[in-house]
Amino acid sequence: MEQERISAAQFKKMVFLYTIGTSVILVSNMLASDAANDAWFAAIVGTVAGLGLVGLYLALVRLVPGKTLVEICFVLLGKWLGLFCAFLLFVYSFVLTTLVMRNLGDFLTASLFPETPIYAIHLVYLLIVLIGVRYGLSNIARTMDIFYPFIFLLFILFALLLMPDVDLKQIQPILRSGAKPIVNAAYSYISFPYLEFILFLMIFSKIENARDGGKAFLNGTFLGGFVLLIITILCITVLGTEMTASNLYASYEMAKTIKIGDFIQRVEAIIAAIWFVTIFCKLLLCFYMTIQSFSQTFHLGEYRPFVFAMGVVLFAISIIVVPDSGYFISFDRYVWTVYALTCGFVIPLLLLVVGFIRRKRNVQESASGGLDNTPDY
Amino acid sequence: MWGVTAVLAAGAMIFAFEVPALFVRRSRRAWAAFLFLLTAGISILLCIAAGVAIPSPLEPLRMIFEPVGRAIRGE
Repeated sequence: MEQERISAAQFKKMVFLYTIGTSVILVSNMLASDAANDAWFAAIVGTVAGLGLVGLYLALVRLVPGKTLVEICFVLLGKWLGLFCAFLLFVYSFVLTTLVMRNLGDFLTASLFPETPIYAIHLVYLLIVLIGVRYGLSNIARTMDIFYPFIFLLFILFALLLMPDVDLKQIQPILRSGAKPIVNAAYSYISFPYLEFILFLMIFSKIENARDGGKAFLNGTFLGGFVLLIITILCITVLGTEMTASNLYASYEMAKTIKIGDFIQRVEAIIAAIWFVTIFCKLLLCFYMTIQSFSQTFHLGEYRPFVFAMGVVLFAISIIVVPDSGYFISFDRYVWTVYALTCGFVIPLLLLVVGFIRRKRNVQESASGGLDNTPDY
Repeated sequence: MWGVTAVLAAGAMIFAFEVPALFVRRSRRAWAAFLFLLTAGISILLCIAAGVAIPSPLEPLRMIFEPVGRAIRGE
């Protein structure tokens, strides 16, 4: 099998589209329900923390260059502990993929296709994703190349159309209820989407130039965070805090308010198109990460024969994963945050500490003339 | 009954589609992984098609993490 390589610019586009996918509709509601009219501030805090997390992941990659996340687990923790850790990360990526799938289905059945059964939507979407993943990573990267300018233009158009309705008074009073609600909101925001970026280490080793890749990772995160910040500000200033906090799909509701003259109206299709495309990208990347971590965790080699089988499992689980939307909201609030924190922060931090200790010991042993017993994996 | 038939047909199609590549590979691990995934997926889909209620696979996660999550939020 030939090595699949992607360029740093393509990686930046991947990170950007991944950050926006699903978040573009859900984040403003999530932030506003905790931080009310300071949601924009929480968005800034979350983005800064996200950039810090990316720095942590980059440090981990620099410690063990040229390896994917699962391989890093095996190199640093050995055979059995490494297997355990890699398995945890595989489960995380799998759960994430099913939830992204389910988000898509829930949104489409709630907004655009009220009478279509959810499994039909999942099936159609999943088939495209499966074919994309079977074609391989360089193909996925070229898909991102095509979608990136398209999404940018749509987003700018969307923001411009909303400008006449912006009412900056909605942001005031600033920081009325102190720091606690902001921290609460930022905490949810970090767990979704920033802590999921740990899984990008499955792709990172495929970048041609690792140094540029690091910059691209930070750039993509920043751009994605910026777009989400703009969306949040628009939601608060156009819809108002209460509407934003009570509508699960706030930015979609906001697009419904656009009406310029009698000829530009019902442009919520724009935000629906942004959502369609970015969630496709996110699902594609998530599925790729899941199947890669699966085949690497269990040392199965080439992942392609498992794509369709994994697709069946994913399809089945995505139907039963959340019984109702109340379950989903409470799950997101109390369970997903901690779970993402464990997999996206505690595990990489642990790997980093273990890596530093091992490197230090190696340096000491070679300095004292001892045997250089760097294990050969 | 249509659902059950469709699920079984899809399973058979995927099996027939992937088997040549697996024969070439001659890896017992790969066979085991493939069969495990396919049977797991097909059996859950059969349960859904037959109308058997299945608890959400998120339940174990919820039981482990929910107390911590509520404590962190201070609720």
